[in-house]
Amino acid sequence: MNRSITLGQYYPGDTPVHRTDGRMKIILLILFMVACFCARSFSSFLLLTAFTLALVFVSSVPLGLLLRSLRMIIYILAITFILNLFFTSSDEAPLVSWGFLKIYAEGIWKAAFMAVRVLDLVAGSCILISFTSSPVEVTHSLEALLKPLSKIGIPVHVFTMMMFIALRFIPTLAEDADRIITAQKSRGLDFSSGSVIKRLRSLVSVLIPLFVSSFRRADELAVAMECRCYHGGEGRTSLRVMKYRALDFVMLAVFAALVAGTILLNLIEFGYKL
Amino acid sequence: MSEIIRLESVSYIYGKGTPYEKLALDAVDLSFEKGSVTGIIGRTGSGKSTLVKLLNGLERPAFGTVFFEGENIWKRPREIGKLRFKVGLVMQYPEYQLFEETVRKDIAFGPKNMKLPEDEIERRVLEAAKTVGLSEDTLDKAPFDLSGGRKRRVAIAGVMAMQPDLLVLDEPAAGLDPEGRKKVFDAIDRYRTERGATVIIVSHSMDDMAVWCDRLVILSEGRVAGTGTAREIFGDPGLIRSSGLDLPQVGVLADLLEDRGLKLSGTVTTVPEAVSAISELFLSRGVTPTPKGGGAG
Repeated sequence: MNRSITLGQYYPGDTPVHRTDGRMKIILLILFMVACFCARSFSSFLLLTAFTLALVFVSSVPLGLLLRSLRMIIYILAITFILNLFFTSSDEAPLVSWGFLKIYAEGIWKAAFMAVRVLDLVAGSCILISFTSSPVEVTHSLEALLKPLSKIGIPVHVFTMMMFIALRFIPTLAEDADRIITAQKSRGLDFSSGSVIKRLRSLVSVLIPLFVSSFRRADELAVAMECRCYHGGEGRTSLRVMKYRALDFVMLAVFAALVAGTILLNLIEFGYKL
Repeated sequence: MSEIIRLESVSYIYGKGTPYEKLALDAVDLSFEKGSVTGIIGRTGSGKSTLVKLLNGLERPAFGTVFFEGENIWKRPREIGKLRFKVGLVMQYPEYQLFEETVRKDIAFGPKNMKLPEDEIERRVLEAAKTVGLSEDTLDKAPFDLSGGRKRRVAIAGVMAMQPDLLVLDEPAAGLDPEGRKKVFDAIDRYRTERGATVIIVSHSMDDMAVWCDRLVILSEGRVAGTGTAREIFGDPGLIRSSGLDLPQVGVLADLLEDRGLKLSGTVTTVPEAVSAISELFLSRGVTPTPKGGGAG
């Protein structure tokens, strides 16, 4: 069931990565992205990849599970690799020349770096956010981090509440969809044969009940929230009070060191031209 | 009588390969006789709904084989769709599957998927509507305008219109009022007698199960904990308790009477059985019971 739902990737555990405060993890993610885009030299990519692998190891997320979720980006990777390979030109003589297509040594390096960069970036953010924080934690953290924006009139609470409800209902609606598909299959619904028109029509038999049930759920949720006196974000306190602990600052230091290390390695390899 | 469907050491693993992996069914052996009405009972999470989905090939067992009329249903996986016309499954809260603009069209969805001729579809729709007790003027209404109980019966008619030999229902009466419950069970009984079909019902209502089923199967933790008639099953308080179930209400009454020194002979599972057992008890004590309005003597 629900094999296609990749959003619920949360892999429960009790590792330093899991225990880090959600707000800090968003900051760490930003630092990690900075490091990924700063990396230009061979040694800095080495550091970045080693760091990503260490992160996977520390979070104790099985490598197979991670690779499975990286499968989706394989096409993006292939396309960027090919583009970089053929469209990088340099002053040196091409390694291979085939009509207007020329492959330079620099192109190979650039393509490989780009691929490694994307791979590290996606793997790192998967480990930091999707695998080790529950969607609830992510929304709460976002709200906390964006709170200053409410001072200039942006309804941060409303946005995060909508985001939270949307996230909260993805598995529920997926379950509903699953149940409806099962029910219609029991009545002989067949997605896998017939003309395009026929297949689209069979989709209708799933979409209409799904719409009906999501409206019903929205209505029920609204009533339930009113019954519990929900009145927006004003004066609302959270059940979970987020507090930074020593671990969070250690993690911050580690990630800051990563950014510094990447920049330093670039400087060593290329001199001070940045 | 011969059997219509048989499960041979069937196991099913839920969420395989994820951290939430769970053995939902553990080497289940069961067979169902043609024309019988079997009730499957068990607490939430005992594997009832999984079992039901294995019967019409919605799920494939991890181990073991399901035989329908002697043939392995997964022998030709591409043709599993055909089985679903022979094993009709009514899921929990089936009214949420309604989608057409009229009741008539919705009931016709199944037969249409069977690619039957138009006049045959029309005939089956009328017949199914009659079986579940829907009047003809209901057929042209929108299903969303009906009451909960009637919606439920429309959904059940949608499966009956495929005229399956084996009708499987998962909690067919859940959430309905007593009148709605009775109408649903009457409809199932009518379908069974008219078509000579086999019926499997999953339910939490011990009272309904005691009344409507010839045989009960208890599932507990993914295993078959016991099978037998309602009398055999409910006559074994240890089994009932260890499976997390309850006695039917008359059974509870019998227990209360026994606590007060009035032991009924045998196990009672339905109201008529209780009436005769209690009258018998009165007679044995030399009291003639006068039905309705009479004093207790």
